[in-house]
Formats: sequence, C-alpha cells, structure tokens
Amino acid sequence: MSRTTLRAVRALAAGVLFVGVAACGEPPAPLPESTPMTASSAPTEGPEVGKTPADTLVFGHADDATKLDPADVTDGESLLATWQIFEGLTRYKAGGTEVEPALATEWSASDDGLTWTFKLRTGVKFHDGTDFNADAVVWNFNRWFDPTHPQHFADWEFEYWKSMFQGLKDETNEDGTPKSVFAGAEAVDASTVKLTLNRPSAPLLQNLAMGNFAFSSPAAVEAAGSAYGTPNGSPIAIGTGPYKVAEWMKDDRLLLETNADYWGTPPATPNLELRSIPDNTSRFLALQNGEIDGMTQLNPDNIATAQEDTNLTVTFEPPNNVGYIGFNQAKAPWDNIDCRKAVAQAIDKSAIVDTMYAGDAEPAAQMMPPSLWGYNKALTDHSFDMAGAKTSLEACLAKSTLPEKVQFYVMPVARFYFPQPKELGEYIQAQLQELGVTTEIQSPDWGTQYLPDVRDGKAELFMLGWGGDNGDPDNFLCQFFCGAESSFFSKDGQAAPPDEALATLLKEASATTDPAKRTQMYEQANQIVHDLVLAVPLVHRSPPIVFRATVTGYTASPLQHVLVGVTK
Amino acid sequence: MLSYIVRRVLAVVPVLIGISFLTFALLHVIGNPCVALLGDHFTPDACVEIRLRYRLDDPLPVRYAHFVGRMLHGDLGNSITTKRPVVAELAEKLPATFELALAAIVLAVLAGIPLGIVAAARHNSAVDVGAMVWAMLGVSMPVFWLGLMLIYVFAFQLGWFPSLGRLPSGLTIPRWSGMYTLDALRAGDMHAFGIVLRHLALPAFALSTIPAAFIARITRSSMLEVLGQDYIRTARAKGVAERAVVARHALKNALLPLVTVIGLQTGALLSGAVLTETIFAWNGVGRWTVDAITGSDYPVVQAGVLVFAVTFVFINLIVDLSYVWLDPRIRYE
Amino acid sequence: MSALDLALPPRPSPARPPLRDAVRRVRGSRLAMAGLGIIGFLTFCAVAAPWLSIQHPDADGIWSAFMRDAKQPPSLRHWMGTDKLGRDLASRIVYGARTSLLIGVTSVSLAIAVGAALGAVAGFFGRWVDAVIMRLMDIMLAFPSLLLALGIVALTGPRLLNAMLAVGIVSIPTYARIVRASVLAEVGKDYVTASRALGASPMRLLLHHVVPNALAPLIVAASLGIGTAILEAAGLGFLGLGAQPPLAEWGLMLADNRQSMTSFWWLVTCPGVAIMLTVLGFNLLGDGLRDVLDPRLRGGRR
Repeated sequence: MSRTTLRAVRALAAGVLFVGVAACGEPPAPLPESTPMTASSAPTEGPEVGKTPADTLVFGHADDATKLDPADVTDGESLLATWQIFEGLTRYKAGGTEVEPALATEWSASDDGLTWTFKLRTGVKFHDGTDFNADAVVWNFNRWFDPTHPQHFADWEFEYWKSMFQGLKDETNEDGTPKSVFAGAEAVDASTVKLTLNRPSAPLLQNLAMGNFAFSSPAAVEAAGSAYGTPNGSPIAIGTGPYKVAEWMKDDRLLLETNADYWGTPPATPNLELRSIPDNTSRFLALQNGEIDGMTQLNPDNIATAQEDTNLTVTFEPPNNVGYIGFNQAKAPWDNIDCRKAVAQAIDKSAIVDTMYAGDAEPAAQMMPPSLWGYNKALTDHSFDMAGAKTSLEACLAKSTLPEKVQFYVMPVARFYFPQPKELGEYIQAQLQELGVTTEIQSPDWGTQYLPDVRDGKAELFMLGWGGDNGDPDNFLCQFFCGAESSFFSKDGQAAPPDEALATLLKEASATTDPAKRTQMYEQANQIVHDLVLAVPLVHRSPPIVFRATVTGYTASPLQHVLVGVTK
Repeated sequence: MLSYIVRRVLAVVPVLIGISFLTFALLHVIGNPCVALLGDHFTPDACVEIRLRYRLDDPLPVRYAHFVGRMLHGDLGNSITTKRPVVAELAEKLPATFELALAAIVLAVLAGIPLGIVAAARHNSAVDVGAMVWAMLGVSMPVFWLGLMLIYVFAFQLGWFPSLGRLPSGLTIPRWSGMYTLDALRAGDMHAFGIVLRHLALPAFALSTIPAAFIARITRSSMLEVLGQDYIRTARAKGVAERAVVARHALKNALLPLVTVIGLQTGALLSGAVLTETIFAWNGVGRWTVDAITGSDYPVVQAGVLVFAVTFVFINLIVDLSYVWLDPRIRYE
Repeated sequence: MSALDLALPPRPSPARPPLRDAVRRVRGSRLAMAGLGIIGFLTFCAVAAPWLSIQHPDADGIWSAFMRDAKQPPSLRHWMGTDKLGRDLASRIVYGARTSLLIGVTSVSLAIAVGAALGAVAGFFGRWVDAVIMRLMDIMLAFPSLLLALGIVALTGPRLLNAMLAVGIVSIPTYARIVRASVLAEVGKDYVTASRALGASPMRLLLHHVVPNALAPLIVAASLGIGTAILEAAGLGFLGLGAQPPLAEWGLMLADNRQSMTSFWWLVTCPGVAIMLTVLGFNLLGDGLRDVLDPRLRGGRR
C-alpha cells in the first residue's frame, strides 16, 4: 500500500492501542476482599468497574447535601446525610413517627409544661474525641437560639429552628411577649439538662427528634468557623452518630466510615457512600447496572420496571405528605359550603391515583397522612359522585354566584406529592367543567411567584401540598388551619383561620401534653375539616426506595432514611 | 508579524469586555436580581438588604463597574442553592470539563486526521465515500442521543464501560490537579489510571464524534486541494518520495484550515459538553450550569456562561497566533 | 481580521450563472439530490401528517383507554410501538416533522433577516459602523451556541417559541458575516463607485449587485443552518428548556422516553434516528449546493 495509507493505518493503530490500554487497564478479577477505605491511603486492590465494593453501601440520591450542619439545612438530601452522622436528644422509631430515646435516656416535664428535664446518656463521645455532656447540649441550644452566640454565624439561616420554635432570643411580638417557644437551656449536672419554655409545647419531643436539632461538637464548630459543614471545613462535620465523615467530594460523593466508638449498635455495613446523581434515569440505570446499591426518587415509569426486575427490591415508605386543593374562602362563592362540597364530590381520586401515579400513592381523605397518630380512622370521605356534585352546585348557586372563570392555581413544576401537576390540573379542570364550573389555570413561576400569589389571596382554588417535618399532627393541621397560613382565608394578604372554632381546638391541642387527649382532639379536628370541606385532600404519596435484591435490612420510615441497619 | 500579534491580542479586549457586559446584563438588567439572588428566601425585607449590599439602586455604569471590580478580585458571588462562593465551586468543577474536552479533542484529532488523509489519498474510492458518509452521519447526530445509545449498548448490555461518573465507588485518587488522569499518573497508580480512562471513554467518544467528523472532512478537502496543486506535481515529477510530498509540502499547508476548524470546534465541544455531562453524570461546569438554569441559580449561570465564553475566546486567540508559524504570509505583514 | 476571514478569503464574484444552468448542476450533484430527497420526504410527512398518522399526537391518553396500550413494542398497528402514555410513536414522529421544519425554517429566517441587514449595513457604511457591528458579532460568536441559547431561554422562560428565538439569535453572526463579505467584495469595485457618483441609490446597488453575489453562500449556509437549528432545538427540548409537553417534538420525546430506554429501546431509537436523518438531509443538501454553486470551495483533483 502507498506511504500515505501506511501512515494513516499506523495512526489508526495507535488510536486503537490507546483505547485498548484503557479497556485493559482493568483485569477481570473477582471482587477483592474487603478493602477498608481511609481517606488518605491509595487503594491496594481496586474495585471492579461496574460493581460496588463489598464493604461499602453505595446509595444514590438526587442532589448532594448542600451543607453538613443539620442546624442550617432544610433540604431532604442534606438531611439524608446528616441522619447518619448526627444524633439529638430523641429520635423517631424506625418505621414510624413515635419518639424514642437517643442521646437522652429519659425525660420528664413539669406540671405547667414549661420545664423539661432530660437525663443524658453517659460515656458518649463525639467523633473528634470530645465528650458529649450537658455542657455540649446547652452550647448547641444556645448556638441555635442566640443570635449573639459566636458560632451563630451571620449568613446562616437556622430555618428550622425559626419554624419549629418560632423565633430567636430577644425577638418579641408586638405585645412584648417573646416570639420563641424556647426560653433557655441549663446544665444541671454533667448528664442532666433542663430546657425552659415560654409556653407549653406539646410537640417538643417530636421536634427534638428532627434531624435539624442534632448536636455538633462545640470544639469542632469553633475550630472550623463558618466553614463548618462545607467541604473545605476542618473539620467538616462532627457528631455522635454511627457513621463519621471520611471524605467529601462535593457533587460527586460523600464517604462515610464506621464510628468505632459508637455507643449503640454499630452499622451493619462498614462504609457508606452517598453518590449524587441528579438525573433520575441515569441513577436508575446505574442501579440496574450494579454501579450503586440503592436509590431514592424513581421516575414513575421506572417503578414498574423495578418491580419486575428480580435483581431489585422496591419498598414504599409510609406516606408523610398530603397533596390537596385548597379554597380561598375570602373570595365568594368559596365561603359557601355547598360550593366547596360540589367541588369535592366532582373529583375522582381513585382515577387520579390509578392513572397518574405508579402504585406509589393512595387517595387522601384527610389533611394528614394515615401513618400519623390523630388520624381519624372512622371517617368516611366524600365519595366521587358527579350527580351529587351537581345537586350541591345548584344549592350553591341558589345563594352565591360563580365567577365566569374561577382562578385555579396549578404549580408548573413537579412536587414530591404531585409529580405531574400540569396533567393533574388539566384533569381537574376537565372534571370541574363537566360539573359546570369553568376554571382558568394560572401557573406562575414556582420559585418566585406561586407561593406569594396564593398567600396574597389571588387564587380561588389552588393546588398545594405539605410534607411533614416532625411526625406531629400539629405540623399539618395547625400549619393549615390555625390562621397563620393565609392561603385558606386571605384578604389583602391578611391571614385568618377559615374556621375559628377549629383554630381554637388546634391551638389547645398543641398546648396539651397528654398524648391520649391530644389524639382525640386531632381526630375531632379532622372530622371538622371534613364536615366543613375546608379543602379537598387528593393524595398521599409513598415515595419508593429501591435496593439491589442482595441488600437487606432496610426499614421503611416516613420521616427518615434508616441506612444504618442495611446489610449487603 | 509583531503587529499582527499585537493586533490580535488587542482585538480580544473589546470582546472580553462585551462578554463581561453580557453576563452582567444577564443578572442585573434583564433578570430581577433581588429575586434571583435570594431565591426561595425572598421576602421584601431581605430584598432591602440585598439592594444595599449589591448597590442595586446605583446607576447602571456604577453597578457594572462594581461587578467588574468584584470579578477581577475573584468574587463571582455566592451560589443560591449552596451559598458557597461560586469561584470555589468553579475551581472544583473546571478540571472535570477540561479533562473531558481534552480527551474528546484528542480522540477527534486521532480519528479525524488519519481518516481524512486516507480519504484524500484514496479519492473517490469506496474508502473515501465510506469515510465521508460516516463523517456526514457524525455531524448530523444529536450528541445526547449518541450518548444514550452508547450507554445502552456498551454499559448496559455489554457491561464493558460504566454508565456514569468519573470514578467508581471505592476508588479515591489523591487530588492534585482535579483531572483524575493526571492525578493517577502523578500518584503512580496505573491501575487507577486505567479505571479513570474507562470512565472517560464513553463520554469522550460521544463528545468527539462531531469534531472528528469535521476534522476528517476538512483534512480531506484541504489535502485534496493541496495535492492538486502544481507544485505538488512538480515535486512528484522531481522524484520526491510520496511521504515527503505529503508530510512536508501538503500537510503543512493543509494545517491552516485544520487548525482553524479545531479552534472553532472547541466551541461546539463546549456546547456538547453541556449535554454529555448531563447524561453521563459528569461533575463538570456544563452540568453545573444547566442545573443552575433549571434551578434559577443565576450567579452560577453567569459564571458558567462566562467561563465557556472566555475559554472559547482564548482558544481562538491561540489559534490565530498559531498562524504566525503556519502561514508565511503573515510573517511579512 | 479574524480566524474565519483568514481561512476563507473573500472570493471574486463569479459571473452570475443562468438559473437553468445552476439547476442542471444541482441535479447532477448526487449529494444535493440525496439531501433533497430526504427533505422532500420530510416535508411530505409534515404536510400529510394528519393523513399519515393514526392518532393525533396531543391525544391525552392519561385518563382514557389509551393507557392499556402503553409501551407496546412495534406491531402491525403501531409501527413504532407506543410510548408511556399509550400514544402511537409513529404518529408523534410524523407530527414531529412539522415541528422540526417549523423550528428550522423560522429560526433561520429570523437569523437571515436580521443578519443580512446587519451585514449589509456594516459592509456598506464601513468604518466605525462596521467595526461596532462586527465586534458585536464577535462577541456573540464567543459564546458556544448552545450556551448562548440556554442563557436566552433561561431569561425568557422555557417555551418552544423562546427556543426558536434563541436558536435564531445565536445564528445571526454567521449570516451577517456572509452578507458583509459579499458587500465588501462589491463595494470596492469601480462600477459601484461610478454608480454612486451618478446618484444611484444604495438600495438599488444592494438589490442588483450584492444580493445575487451573496445568494449562493447564503443558500448554502441556510441549508446547513436549518440542520443545525433543528439539532440545537432538540438539545434544548431534551434539557426541558424548549418544547414543552404534550407537544410532539423529537428532542422532547427523547427526554420523555429516556427513562424507559432499558426496557423499551425503540422509544429512544426512533426519535433519534428521525433527528439524524433530517439533519443529514439538510447537510447533504448544503454540501451538494456548496459544491455546485461555489467551485472555489470544492477542491479536488481534476
């Protein structure tokens, strides 16, 4: 052949060789024996490409943690990570919402409900070796509560503190009463802490079990400063949990290794790697391919595929959310119960669940999920009944007039309770049209406009949802109906409860500390919500979590991802 | 020659200024900066504070000046989602994109040039036609679709390559440059180097298809044009070895448009990187920018667009400056 | 002088080929004919879509009987199978031809309209007007096209219209340069100076001399440009920033069906092949036309 061709062939051969080296870089070897992973050592026997190491549980989630300080995060992905690293006074029982001891072994409340005494577990150390004791607990509470605390960093938000405890130190209402439920913390002795409150708060124990109120080592936060919880922090994150941080490659993976000095049952798998793979499809493919061991957030279409795949196990977590249609009763005719009832009867919730969800949802009858105590098991929902709906509509029109185009707000982006909001909105629009109610769909930008508009009372009907934070019914019902939420009754941005009697009941329930009495009150509240048709709850979504079939030991929970007991 | 160099370098300046203004306009003029900077935490009170801190009520030229000033000091603001400085995140992600783009261009050159030469040497033969058809298909294929097909066939069905990511679980490479190929070599870990290449293979291949096709076509047409020239015929008639004919006379003159194309293709490469990184879960600037767009994280969108634009400008500058060596006409300008 | 100018020096204007001669040469070019064939087929599909498909693509199969047909493999009734909502894929692809042609033609028309105007102004008036306009074009060219389009869509919101606008805006510099080069090639000539001295209006000069000169490279660029526009719009649709559901657009279909790829590969293969063939058609046409209309660029052994 000619010289030119020869030259070309040689070049091509070089290219092939190049690729060959790459492909041959990995000898086909069986999985090596467990290689303990430390941050600094180079691996002695590398893993096989496409398979995960035997001693590491590789879990894929959609986004990397934004920060590893639980006090300052609000997103579920960060909490997924911090659940494994940090602990608080109490924690949720695996599989449910009841509270059990964690770093506190027992507790008691004073009669007036204003002082809580916690006995702490002894012999517990933080990952950096410092002792966990009452002083550490007090230090953490003060850091969250007191804006003048040196480690209450200025640009940090501490959002969940503000939301669950309603305020920081020295913030007062117009009448001079302190905004915050919390008054102070005091170390009685090395293993006893006293928390004082400004007003009785029955959900306190549930709140304290939230991931956001887990304790960091004071020494660590002081050392790292405002870089604490970020990848360049030194240290990054120090808690008392079963796993500790080995290495964090932001937006790629977070490596956690066993805390050898953990006070409780050590984790079943020595190492945990949280890989962030934003795209649901890529993540699922990686799971099918064996490149990761488990994942959350499947595309609805992949749920059936996963269920049919014998290499995968799909588990649905008990729902902890509700998606609903709300009424703005400040706008006529939605203050008329017959009109609301008409809408409630015109919607076929079973059809919605069957066609728009892939077996990961159930129709909702109440404005809180059935997994929560306080759910009224005796209640029967308004059933889908178009004829009955039309009768109700007639009754409605006898006293009020319907606007030509009812303003119906539908969110433009998927939410975890409504994965296909646009289609759902159009379906509901079609159903209401059949009823005789014409709606106009508005979908302002979710990030900036939707919530403000709804809260300003621009909507008449609106689609929204809520995910529970702490396993307490107060977190759902009071959130909606105590009067702080202006969507249900809003005139010129001023909020008021849609029903005064209900609001009083709910506020009383949040102050009562007797659990039996509280349960009964919330059941009653749910009945009232149903009778008055204050909203139309549509679905409770049960998020699926998928593991490779060889991975066992996962307990599905509504409020957390318990990865500690999972074995490969 | 010197004046050419100086003129080219100076010409870059207004373009850079224009780019900086466009990216400034992205956030500060067209978008609502208050809402954009606060994101979910938007309240009218927080807005007041933001307006003060970013001097949003100052006249436009003043704001632009401050923006440039901050930019030159390395401050591109903070990401709304993570609240970390954008520059820090950029430093983490840039090596990944750089590595991918470099691998793609290397593959494209290694595949395209020989193919073009062969096609030119065997003009109008089956090889020529086949090569050109392949090249045509290459530029007509959507890069994200090719990526998906590659993953399906080579990762899912055949299992030869991983489906995503830069590293498998359980492998850590001590970080030095952020480009894992270099870092593995520096650590002397050939095993890890092989694994990294394997992860790099599919995305780089997908990304390299379009540039490879362009390079092949341009090489072929340049070579054809040059090989048809009289002085080539003369050289052959004089008995110069074919290889010397091709290498010394033809190739060098054909390099000029080739280098141009490589420079221009880098722009296509950067665009394609955005799509490829999304599919292969590659932790680079492209994916970061797209996520920021869907997440309304405007400071990050700004930074991503800025980085790509500036990179492209500098690559073209280098290409232009390389003409000094390649094109004798310039030396005498 | 920039890279592109050096690589392709302004060419002397050829004698204006008689139309018949040009058409004959186009017919002789295999490339161009192949391209035209594909485009012809595509146009036919687009126009005849309602008759060719068995289902309207927007048929909302969500709460209707379509659901039981979801994700069917290719069969006699559904030549390309059905997608996750039970919609016939072949019908959606045929309707997608409409969307793609619309996208391609609209964005390129916009780009040519604005670009040609800018280029003509720059070339004709010269000096600082030229410098300003060309610098602006350079700046636009400095952004990788997809990124600039992404940026524009990020600001204006994800919609098909905005995607078309963005893709159009991004291609303006290409056409501006072509027209400017043609204008510059003519403006220096004696007859132009003479005409101007005699008082001929710039418009007349533009129309009678510049336009024919620029037409050839413009047509070539437009043909290639439509292909590029379709690719970019598909990319935007894939990222969720272009066409929105339930529109039948090929890039959007790729994004939608991606999650079913491992079990139902045809849902991903078919739209991708459709895009590829369409773009191939325009590329073939463009290449063929370039060979025919502009012999200087052909290069090859005689």
